[in-house]
Amino acid sequence: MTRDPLTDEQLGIAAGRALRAGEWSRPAARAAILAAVAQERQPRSAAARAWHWLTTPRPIRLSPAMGLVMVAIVAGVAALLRPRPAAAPAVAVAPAAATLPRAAHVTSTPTVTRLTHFALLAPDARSVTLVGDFNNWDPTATPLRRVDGTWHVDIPLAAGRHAYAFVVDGGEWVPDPAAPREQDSDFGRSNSLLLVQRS
Amino acid sequence: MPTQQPYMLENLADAPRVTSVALRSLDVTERPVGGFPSGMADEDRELARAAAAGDTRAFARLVDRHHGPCVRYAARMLGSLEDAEEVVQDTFVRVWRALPRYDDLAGFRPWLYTILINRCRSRRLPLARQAQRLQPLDGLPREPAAPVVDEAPQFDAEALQAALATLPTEQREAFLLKHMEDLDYDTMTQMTGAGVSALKMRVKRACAALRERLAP
Repeated sequence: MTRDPLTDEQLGIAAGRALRAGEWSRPAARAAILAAVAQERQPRSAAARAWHWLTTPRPIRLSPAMGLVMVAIVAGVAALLRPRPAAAPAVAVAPAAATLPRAAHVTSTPTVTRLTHFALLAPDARSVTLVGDFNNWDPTATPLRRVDGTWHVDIPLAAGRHAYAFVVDGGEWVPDPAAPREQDSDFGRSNSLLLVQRS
Repeated sequence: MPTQQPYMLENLADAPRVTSVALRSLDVTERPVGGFPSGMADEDRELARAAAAGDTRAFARLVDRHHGPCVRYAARMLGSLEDAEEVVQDTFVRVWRALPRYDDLAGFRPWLYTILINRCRSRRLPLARQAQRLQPLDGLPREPAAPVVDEAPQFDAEALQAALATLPTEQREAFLLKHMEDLDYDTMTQMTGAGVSALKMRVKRACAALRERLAP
């Protein structure tokens, strides 16, 4: 024996009853909502929103062309603001004005730094340090550590060209035997050259 | 048939300020099981106004009152309690953000459901791309429905859920709003943006499909 097929209304009522059954609201889920809402800021005044907008850091996408335009504008403004030499002592103001375009340039092209490994085979040395334009040629700034007969150090270097040499036993500057030499070395010394790639 | 447009989720700020929708449609009293006791709409309105002014306790009350039905709807739509709770949380956070612009509209609950329905629709998009996987019934309550004395058949919620999962989203949505939430077609129009005749057709098709799939 088969029942008569259900009408839509009968089906709907029975299905609705079955679908509603059960407890659906977990206290933890409700608490999570209130916690999420608490994190939302209270509705703010227009002034507060404006301040928030101004002070929130955000990434800025800038085409190189627009970057150049902006540097040109900053440079133009700096040139206009530059005091006449006769009017005031230019010493204090001029360098500040001159640095403005450069600062803009630096922020638009972030410096790339790479960890660079230096090694020198010197089994008889008692100490080896590294000097270069990156540490102002300070022989004490960057000591190498001895591993068997080889001396090692890793330092972060900005992308670009660097001149350097090793200082063995606190006196002798030794160019890197594995690197090209700088053409016009100061003081008759021959430094090594290193090009740190951008990518 | 009301002529106002449904509020689109994406820009609640631009939602029309509807104030003249038949409020009677909210007070579903003929079937207290799933319906909303009358008077709740008034209380909701007061709570929503207080919450709009920044009263977090009033907002917590609104969450307490509506959380269960919202989770239930989302869980039945999405087939997962975990997804449902996420969607409902997202919905309430959006409600909180939009409350300062809350202008009674047509009542708190239709507004809440408008957002919820849209969140469920957006949630389904990535799922639909997952090769139409069978809806798992993870975490849904499996309590049997309260026994009834009338002649109506007793459906197994799990089988029903599995059958619902095979329906097109629009049909499942319409069926759940009509028969699980016990809403009338005017209210459903307001919530979904679909016309009454389209909604009736969806419910009808859903019933036909379910009848076939649940046939013994």
